[in-house]
Amino acid sequence: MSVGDLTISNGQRFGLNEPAVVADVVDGETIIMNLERGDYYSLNQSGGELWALLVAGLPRADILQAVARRHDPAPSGQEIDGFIGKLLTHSLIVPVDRANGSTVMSEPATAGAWSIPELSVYSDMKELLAMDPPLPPMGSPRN
Amino acid sequence: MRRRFEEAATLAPAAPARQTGILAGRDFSVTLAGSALAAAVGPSLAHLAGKALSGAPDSGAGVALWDCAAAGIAPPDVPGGADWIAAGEGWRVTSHGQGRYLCEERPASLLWLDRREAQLVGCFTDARNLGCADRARPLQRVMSELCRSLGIQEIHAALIGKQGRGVLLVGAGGRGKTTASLDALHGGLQFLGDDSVAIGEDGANRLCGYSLYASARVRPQQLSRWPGFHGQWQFPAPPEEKALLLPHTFAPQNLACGVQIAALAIPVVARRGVRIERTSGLAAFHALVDESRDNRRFGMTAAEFRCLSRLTRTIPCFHLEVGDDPAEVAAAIGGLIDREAA
Repeated sequence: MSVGDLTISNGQRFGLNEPAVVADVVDGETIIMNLERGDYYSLNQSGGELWALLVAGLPRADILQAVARRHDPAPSGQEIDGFIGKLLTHSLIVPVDRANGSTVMSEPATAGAWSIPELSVYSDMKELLAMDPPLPPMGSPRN
Repeated sequence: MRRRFEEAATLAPAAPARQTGILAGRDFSVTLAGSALAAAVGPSLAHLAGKALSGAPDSGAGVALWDCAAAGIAPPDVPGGADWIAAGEGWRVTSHGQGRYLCEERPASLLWLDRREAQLVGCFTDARNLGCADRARPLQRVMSELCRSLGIQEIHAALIGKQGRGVLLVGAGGRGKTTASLDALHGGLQFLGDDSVAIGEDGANRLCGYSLYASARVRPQQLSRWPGFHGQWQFPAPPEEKALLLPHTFAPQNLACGVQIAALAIPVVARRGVRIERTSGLAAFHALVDESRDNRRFGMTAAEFRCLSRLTRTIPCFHLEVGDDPAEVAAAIGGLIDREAA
């Protein structure tokens, strides 16, 4: 399937866009922050379920199989690809060649009844950070 | 800057007021050169006084400020060639020395922070003219970076304590953080801040909250809510609106430097009795992130994000309806701390 300019093959894996992006699960809901942009995001339950599989580095085919095992009827590949496309658009994940296994969530997002995976965007800080870019760490070369 | 401070400390008519205490587990000293400056900003920082950990007065982080008018020592010029610049109306923050030094310039003050050493040196043009906002929070925006140097993060929240445990009040401005925290102080609980506090982990990996300023600011129409504070308010000169309360001047026993966080509460002022209901950590997370805008002016680190998420994931969160009776509010907050600390 093609998302924008990116074609997602069955073997394609994804990973967290580190170090710009961090994520955690609070009360079963996945929260994600892009530290460079100042945007933060939350996922609904199905989105969180997909997110955990994606950042674990599973290839697309394994993700489709995993959600098909958990849900009846199984969500379509198109629905899942559309969600992956949104995550890519917001630079929350990046294509990777192999699973790096570095992304450990503090608690798993629970797998409840399937619903359309959703990404909510909170841009409250974006304007602020655009005005005042994050202070670089000590030892950074001069801007 | 440090040399000018030493010079000012020598030339000021009165000896510098120095207090040494502990902030976030580290020795922390506050030295104020000039009696007007000590009177103006000392009370908001005075709660940091206490027994130093190491006993070596100059071994820790600290703040050293002088009053230009009292000492006759002008601030040095800020060098050009900054690494990084952020600016707003009436202020400018620049970074120098590959990020080691941070300088905040305002009409009333010049503050230089050495981020590596967690040492802040600054001056105020004339301490006699400082308004309530400057008296309440004299360290302005560089405070958030000073906190980072100490391994803690400044957040927009109020903090109330009781016997070493505390409840963090988070939420939008005007929702009741100051009201609830002053209700608690009025009712005999410990006050650690109404607007700007810090969070971090102690040596045992417990989530703790730290007081940064022992001060609160309130609109004049609210003052009658706390009859016990009558006569303690400092009133502002226009255009400032909020009156200033400095609890150290009348209730130092009700101040604390740090507490282990037992609960989070999202207050809302309600025209009825007090009500506390459990809510989701996610609601508290949104409140914390949304409402720390000014503190986030210099960005958020991954460690700070994880600290916020751990806080809202592991600490029980509540909605707190702040009713009309301050005694009832104080009792409810005290009861909440007791229950969650048990």
